[in-house]
Amino acid sequence: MPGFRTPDAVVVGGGATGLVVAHELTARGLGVVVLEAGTWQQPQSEISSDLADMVHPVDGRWRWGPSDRRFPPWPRALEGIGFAPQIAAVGGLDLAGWGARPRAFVGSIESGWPIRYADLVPWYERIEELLPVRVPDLLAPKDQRFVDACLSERLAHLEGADVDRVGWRLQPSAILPFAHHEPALGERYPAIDGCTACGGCITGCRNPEGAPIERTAKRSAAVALAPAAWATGSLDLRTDVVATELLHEAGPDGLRRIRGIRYRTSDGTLVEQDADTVVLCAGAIETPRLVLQSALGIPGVTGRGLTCHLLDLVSGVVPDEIDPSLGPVSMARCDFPGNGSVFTIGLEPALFGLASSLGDPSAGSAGPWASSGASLGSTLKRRLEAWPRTLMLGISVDDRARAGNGIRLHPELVDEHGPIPRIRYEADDDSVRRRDWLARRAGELLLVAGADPDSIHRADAPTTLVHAHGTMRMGADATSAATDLDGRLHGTINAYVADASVFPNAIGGADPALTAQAIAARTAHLLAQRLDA
Amino acid sequence: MSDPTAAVLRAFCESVCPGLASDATAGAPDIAAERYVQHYLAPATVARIVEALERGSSFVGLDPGQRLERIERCRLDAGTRRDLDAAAAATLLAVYGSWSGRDAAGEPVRTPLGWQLTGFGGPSPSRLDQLER
Repeated sequence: MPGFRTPDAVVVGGGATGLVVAHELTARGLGVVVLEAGTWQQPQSEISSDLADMVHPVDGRWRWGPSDRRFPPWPRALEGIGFAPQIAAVGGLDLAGWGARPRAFVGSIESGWPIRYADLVPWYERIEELLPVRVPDLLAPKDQRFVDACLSERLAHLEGADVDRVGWRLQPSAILPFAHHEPALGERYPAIDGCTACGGCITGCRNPEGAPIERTAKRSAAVALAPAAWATGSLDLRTDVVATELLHEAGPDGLRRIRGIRYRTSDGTLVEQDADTVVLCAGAIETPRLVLQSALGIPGVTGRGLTCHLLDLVSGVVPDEIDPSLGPVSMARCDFPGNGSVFTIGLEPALFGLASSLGDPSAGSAGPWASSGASLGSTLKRRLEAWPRTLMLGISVDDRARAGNGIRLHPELVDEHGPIPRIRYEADDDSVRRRDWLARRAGELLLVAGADPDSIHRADAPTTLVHAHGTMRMGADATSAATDLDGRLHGTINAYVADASVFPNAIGGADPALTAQAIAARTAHLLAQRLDA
Repeated sequence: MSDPTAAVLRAFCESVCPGLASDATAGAPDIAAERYVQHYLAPATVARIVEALERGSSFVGLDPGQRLERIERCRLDAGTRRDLDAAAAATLLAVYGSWSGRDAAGEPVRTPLGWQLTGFGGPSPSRLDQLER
């Protein structure tokens, strides 16, 4: 790997968006340093697909903490939030995602962003080609059950990628098509080439057995983009390092010029890396944290405006076994612009138990369910024993920003990288109403799907920041936006943000991964043009 | 962990996932899930949980229904809820994850309890033969 003294760009974060920036810039012959808090895992040898081994927040391989798991995870201060997953690893949080790659709802971009939906389309297409993104050609029983219910309800079947009306569709995902398997030819790659329906999207895709990285079925950025970027010879990916400060100096017109980045290695050494251009891709929590730690934040703006998708789960037991763990986690969904989405979700028993049993004790929602909220004890056990016949539907809400929600630096608590983020979230009343509305739609679909009415359970799940956005929102006005329309950090000459923190809204409730990666591709293209010039 | 603390933690785990003593199938007490919980929770968190559950009267002395009621009352406080939910999550992972199927060295030696209870087959390299084309 090259060791750049002054690369063309330094990218903070080697996750889903940072690797897009790295890929696009190195493809143009530009030298890129990527600073990543975690390490790279070789799918065949370092991904076990065991739930606790991979994603346990305390000592899982994909936790938020040092890669040496003898040391504790990095703490966070959460207010109003049940769980805020982060992953320190090449590939980032997307490693434990289920690969869904829907586009944003058209109306959300048109009504809430300072750029047009049409401005994003070329970058959607770029990412869809790169990963690649496909709709499934075959459904697992859980998804077929959902589709049949949508058809019974005469919901429109929509094809194409643009989301602009109510209807159900097959879920575009960064997952290879199902493999065709001839058992006589063997059980490993290349006899099996494609998705093996193992159901391990969340706990780590390593299949098919024996496959090279480039043919790993779930196309996280770690396997889809990092190898090509490395192959250019222009990528210097530094792992186990955490950026702690953007080093800046006065520039023209009262703007600040970033001259470098200070980062901390795993043994505590502080290193200063020169930089002509910096791109922040550390996500909606760590990007504003770094900006605030660097005294570059705009008061009342930087870190504010956090939105999530208020994910919830409604489940019901159908008469026949549908095996929730067969196939990719989610292959079908129904969109309700203005409210959000309802989608299939297949969770293994431990995750289903976690997601459905620890609901908000103060919530009490009316709908087509027999129970809601927390459920422990024998009730929980009976629900889990019905797992093979449980149809699970997730809901994702078109959230609105609420004053006070966001990321700040904790005034007292620190980890080895500085003040820890203090993350506060309280749902907006309209978002709660949309969530309730979607949950009722999910319950109704479960009934149509044949679920026993007495089995339908709404989790009323605590806020989980699986999808987090908006903390560095883009806009032309530097008094109300953290970044400009090109993603450049207001107040600076050469710092950019290219992750979901620039979203001005929750994009309708759609999974943010594709839109964040499209933003990253767009920003990389703009940067490359400027650097070439 | 002191015996009184262990007893309260064990009773909590039993409330989350009851075992053969009070339920038709095995659960947390039958695999000593409180060991898993105690491993992952900081001592201060365990202490707070015990203090909250024991407030007013013995938690261990309550019947299963009373224990669940007390847990739900305790969960109304945001801080206590966070601690209790962490312990409940650890209990569920102990029962329904792979832990109970592993030996002291972490090697898989049996089907974990929760997989037996639910019919989950665990990680698999391929399930193509179960898809209907």
